[in-house]
Amino acid sequence: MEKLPPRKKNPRPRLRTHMRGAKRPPRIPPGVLFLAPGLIGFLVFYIWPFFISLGYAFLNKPVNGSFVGLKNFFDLFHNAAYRKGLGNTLRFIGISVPVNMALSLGTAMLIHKTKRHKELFSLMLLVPLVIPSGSMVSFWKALFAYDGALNGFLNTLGIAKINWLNSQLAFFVMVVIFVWKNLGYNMVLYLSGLNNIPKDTYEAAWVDGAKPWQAFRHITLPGLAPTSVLVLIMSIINTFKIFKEIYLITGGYPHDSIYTLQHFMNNMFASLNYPRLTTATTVLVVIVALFTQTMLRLERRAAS
Amino acid sequence: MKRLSAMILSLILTISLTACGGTGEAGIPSGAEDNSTDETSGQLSLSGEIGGEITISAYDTMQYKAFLEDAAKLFEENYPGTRVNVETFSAMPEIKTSGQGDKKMVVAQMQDDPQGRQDYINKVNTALMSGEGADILAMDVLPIHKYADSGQLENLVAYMEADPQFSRADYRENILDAIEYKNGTWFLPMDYTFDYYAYDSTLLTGEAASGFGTGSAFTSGELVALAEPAFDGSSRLFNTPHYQKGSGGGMWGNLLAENYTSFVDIQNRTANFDDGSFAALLETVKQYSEQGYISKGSTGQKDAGEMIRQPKEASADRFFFKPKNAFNLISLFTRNLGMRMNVMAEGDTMAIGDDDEIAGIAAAADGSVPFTYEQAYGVNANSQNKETAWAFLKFLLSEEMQLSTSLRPAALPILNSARDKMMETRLTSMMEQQGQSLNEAQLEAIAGYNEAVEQLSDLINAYILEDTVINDMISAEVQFFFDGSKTAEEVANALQNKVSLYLNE
Repeated sequence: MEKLPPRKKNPRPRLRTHMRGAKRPPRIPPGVLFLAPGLIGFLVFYIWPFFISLGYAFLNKPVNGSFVGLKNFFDLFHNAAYRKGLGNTLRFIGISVPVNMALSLGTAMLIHKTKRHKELFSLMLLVPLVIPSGSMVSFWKALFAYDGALNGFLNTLGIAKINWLNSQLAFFVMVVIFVWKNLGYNMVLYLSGLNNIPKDTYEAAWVDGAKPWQAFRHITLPGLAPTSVLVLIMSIINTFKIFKEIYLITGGYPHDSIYTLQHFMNNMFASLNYPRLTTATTVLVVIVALFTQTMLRLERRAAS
Repeated sequence: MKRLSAMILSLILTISLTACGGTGEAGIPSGAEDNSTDETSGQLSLSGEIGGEITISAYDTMQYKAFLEDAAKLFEENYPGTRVNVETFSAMPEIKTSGQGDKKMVVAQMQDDPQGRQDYINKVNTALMSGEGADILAMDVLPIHKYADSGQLENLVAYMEADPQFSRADYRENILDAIEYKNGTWFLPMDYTFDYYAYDSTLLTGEAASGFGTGSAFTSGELVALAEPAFDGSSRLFNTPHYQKGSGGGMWGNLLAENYTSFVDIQNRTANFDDGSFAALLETVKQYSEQGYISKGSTGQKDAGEMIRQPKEASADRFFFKPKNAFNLISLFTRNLGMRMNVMAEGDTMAIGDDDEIAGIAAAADGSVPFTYEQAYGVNANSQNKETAWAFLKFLLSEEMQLSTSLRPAALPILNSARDKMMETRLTSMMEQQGQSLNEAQLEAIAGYNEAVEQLSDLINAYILEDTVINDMISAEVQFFFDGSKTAEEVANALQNKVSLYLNE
């Protein structure tokens, strides 16, 4: 039997940091430590105020109010202004999100195929995201005002002036502003998704005689499914952010066609109607949370 | 997940079952009704202890700051141990001076700032939402009805009844009656003013002028009907332009003010712009201009320089009627006594002509006679020092403050004894600066003025509840009609949608 070599002495003796049976101190994942500042800020400035103000949703008035249970929630859906805001918001999401997704996907595919200046094109399309809303508002007003540049151009063509901001067309102005602002953001997400689709798959498809449309339908779209879910969720969330520009351009009570949920909630605050404001906010939070959960579950199922 | 869902459903069920029910329309709090039930039964009792610190908040610096600071100083002297803080928000107006030789004119022009007003309202709302805010709120731009409805204002009826030193009879009772809203008094005006019409007695004589006087009330439409038979185009019916962009003035502003309650009923939350009457009113203004009933005037907001130049331009025309404010009523009595005061308001000279006489007070289309105020205050329901706040309000209504020169001279004090003395006090002060005193004729003129003021004031029976948001909507939409981009019907329909939406939010 071979003799085992002598055990080397460990120059650094092993420290007994804990006795047998004692629990190890929990190891905090580094990710949590990095997230902590932002998370604490989110909890303090968003979550906690939301729950504090939630109490108003169950009172009939903000000062010395009495408890009314869920009456505010039932009355909310009977309120004509809320229904108008909800309808306009859903209509806006239903039109602007697909348009934005289609345009950003198309743009991403074009840039993906470009061999030169990819970064330059991406940067140009990202610029709208970083321009402050206040600065862009003067541009939009100058463009779409009744005596603005667009009407001036139409006038030179002999076309009568159009009241872009105070007619049904205001809705399409809002869609244009939304697409202009968010195209770059979604395009970057799609670019990333396109880069993750293996080129071999396309090559194999071409070898098999697949046409471009077939490759798009059977390779690109399924490959972009997870990205599309993310783009969809972010786009829907971003539709609520367009309120900033619209409010600065048209005020708290714009044309009927662009009166959204945010206008309703902003006006409730200005009217001191905190019960109705927090009721509407709560409903919105629940809807958005349920929607996000549903989409993420569908995405996980599609991925598996 | 199932357990969580079950818990949420149980919670919802529990909350529904334990709901006590609302005392008012949910989401549209009924603070006004609740407060009136508790406090008008005289349950409030005042301890008489005045002390501590209170804060007063106002938007309009020019109108409120000087008066409030003077009052604060005097109040602190009268009540040692109290401290009164005054906060105002808007910037002071642009001041321009113009003159030749010894004659100087100083014009202070306030620029309308809707965004500034909204920022102030948001600031106050944020403070109220956190349970704080100033103890006393000036009702210059704040929506009184909304604050009353949401229980943010104290119902002052209880304080008036509980305070033995306060007597309604000392003040203009018809004014106090007119400001009641939903069985409560939510603010107190320090002063009041009204519009009246003067007529040219050389253009309208005999039977046409027989109904004119200090006991009469007219709408502009009624005056047009009276003057039309005598109208031959050489004189205009009114000395106002047809429309003044942004300021709400001009003939359009007059007609809107007369018919406001028929278009907007804030108390019942209804709008009525699309039944044809609003569109007809817009067309009426255009017709008046085309028929030569109203003066040429500018359609833009006037700057101070134009206001200074205008007296020379306007004096060439003659007018059947001149809408005027109570402020220059004194000129009708003193014009022949070397004390003519030409006052410019809203960009139009409102000089009293030698042949001008009183036609009557301005009435609304529904027959009511409204008033407006320059300063009014309410007490914050969140205030921790309501009794001191009430004491300060009473102090503002005392003769000392009602006769203060820092209370805007354009309005009449609401305190009866102060109103009787106001004009004599002011004119005496003016004459003393010139080294003179009032003679018998001037004193007689002042007595005549006081009598006219009381007779006209006796006709007041309404306060028109307006909302600055609705006024801004109307102002913005009506502009499209006068610049030709929309028809009257389109403007009316747009307003119907917007105002209904606002009232029913």
